[in-house]
Amino acid sequence: MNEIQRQHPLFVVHAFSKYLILLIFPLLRSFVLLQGNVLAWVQGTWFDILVLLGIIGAGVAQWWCIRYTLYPEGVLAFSGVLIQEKRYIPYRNFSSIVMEEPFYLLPFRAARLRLETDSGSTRHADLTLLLRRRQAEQFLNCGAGRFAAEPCRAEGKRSYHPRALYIAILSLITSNTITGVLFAATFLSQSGKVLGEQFERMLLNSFTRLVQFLAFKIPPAAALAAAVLLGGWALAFLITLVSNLRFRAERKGRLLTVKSGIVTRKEYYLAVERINYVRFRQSLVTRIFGFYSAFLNCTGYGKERNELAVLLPAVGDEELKRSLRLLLPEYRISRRKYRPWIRTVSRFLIPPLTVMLGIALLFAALYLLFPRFRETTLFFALMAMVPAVWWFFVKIAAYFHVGISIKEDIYTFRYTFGYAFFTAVLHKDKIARVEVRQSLFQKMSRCADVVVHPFSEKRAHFRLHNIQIDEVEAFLRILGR
Amino acid sequence: MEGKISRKALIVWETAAFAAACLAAAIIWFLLPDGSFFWYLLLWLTGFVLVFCEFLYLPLRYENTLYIANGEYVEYQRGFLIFTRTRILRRAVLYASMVRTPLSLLLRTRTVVICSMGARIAIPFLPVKDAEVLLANLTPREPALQPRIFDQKGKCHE
Repeated sequence: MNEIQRQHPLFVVHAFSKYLILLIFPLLRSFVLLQGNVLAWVQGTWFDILVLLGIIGAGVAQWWCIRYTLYPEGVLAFSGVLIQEKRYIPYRNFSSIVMEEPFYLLPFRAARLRLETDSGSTRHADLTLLLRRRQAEQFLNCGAGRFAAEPCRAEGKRSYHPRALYIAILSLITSNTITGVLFAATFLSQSGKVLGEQFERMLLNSFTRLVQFLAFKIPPAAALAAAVLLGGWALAFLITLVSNLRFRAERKGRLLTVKSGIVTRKEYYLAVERINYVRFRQSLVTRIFGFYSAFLNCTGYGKERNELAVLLPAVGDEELKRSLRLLLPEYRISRRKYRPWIRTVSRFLIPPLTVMLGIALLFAALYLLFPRFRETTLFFALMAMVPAVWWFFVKIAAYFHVGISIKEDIYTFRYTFGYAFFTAVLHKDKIARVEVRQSLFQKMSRCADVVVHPFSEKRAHFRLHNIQIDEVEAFLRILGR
Repeated sequence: MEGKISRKALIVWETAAFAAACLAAAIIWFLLPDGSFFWYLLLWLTGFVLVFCEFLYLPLRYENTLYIANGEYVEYQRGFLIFTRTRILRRAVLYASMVRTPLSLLLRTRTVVICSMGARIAIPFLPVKDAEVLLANLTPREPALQPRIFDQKGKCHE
């Protein structure tokens, strides 16, 4: 306590690891090609070596300038080389502290600590430190320990361990094809940079051969699109699965701890009073089977790329209530009170029906205009119609889902977005803004859209469609009290 | 307190609509062949939209624009085709600020921006005096509210 501390010496190379990898591999390759002739190697690569030494020098300067001191009530941190920044953050203002231990840091007994408050950058943590494990634990004792010691409704230590099957269900629901495709594209381009174009070409050729092998009696363009979609999705599924395996959530006092991951172990320490809202997500399939996934909105949790702010990976109806009472008894879901009325059911169904009609007309025109591509057109028409029909069923279910409910100061908002069904639970003090939007058509059918903006580091909103206008007024009256 | 935005807002909107229509007409005039079907159609359409905006839509939009600030909340109402009421509870207001632009300097109006965490409301074209009164009214006198999910004894706030 009260002594100036610096980061782990590994920070010197870790801070610039991206650039170092790009430089070191070509240098090593040229060294091997020259069969260990040091003089010739230095003559040929002296500029690269100078850049490398410059990068390491900048790393040392940065390591020296970033330092911190732990005080009983807060942390004083210094950062920056040319532009120095000094800040004092009281522990009480922390929303979350995240400790990351990627596999490559384990041999060095180092851990990355991310400190977050409700303020600061929406993309990066307010303070990121690469510390020795011992230092990180000391930091956690000071910062997160005080939340655990404070009294609250959840007495004792409560923990929740989901089954591996539930993690798989979570990955199934949240896997996004785009994430997988982006990951694969980044992997290909980076491997090209580091290991050479030949390797990148070999990977692409193998992928093309695989697609040709799998494309049996399917148009090649369709096979390629299907392969990209399916491959991207499978990759995203694996990434989510690996990063959430060994998930564990614990509640002690006013501190909620979430631990997960195998390749990169992550520990999140969240101040319960800083949790903005709890949100449950369902797809049409999980809704039929009665499964939910619960997510948290707390500054710092789920902020990094490919990171999910999971509270409960997948739970059934009964287990949801039990687990929520265990981890966050302050949040209670209540029954739907304000809802759309029967006259507005058509307002839910018109958008998917319009899309279906549009797709049918578009592909009918393509079918007639391009007789040579009729087989492909039919295939793509079918593929395009599937999501539209699916959306139609989602909208039917949405009518029975959308609504608002209030239980004392805890508000529950049920809404849909795209194909997903959401249920957001929050304390009324966490509502930042409410917007009531009414078009001329909605005025005729006496309903309005309610857009709720909760407290959140990034802008977020819940849009509830077609709630009865009288009920909206009643909701606004209660909210104002 | 309750009030409307300055009437100068309507003049600005109508001038902007007229300028936009002139620009659209100029583009159509120069890009499309003179006297063609689409040339006539788009010019007539631009004229019709301009008349609709100038004499119906914008005046009604102005009439619907209103702000309310009472002990519980601050609300900003606007819109005609889609009528929108945006409300921030007073206890969620973190700070309020007054914005001056070269145009507002000319018109002697100000924009008041009310900020909460993750949301904000901007009320434009307020007469300077009204803006100052509103700003003084909305600026929180006490530090931002701490989350009340736990009460003093540590139990859930119910």
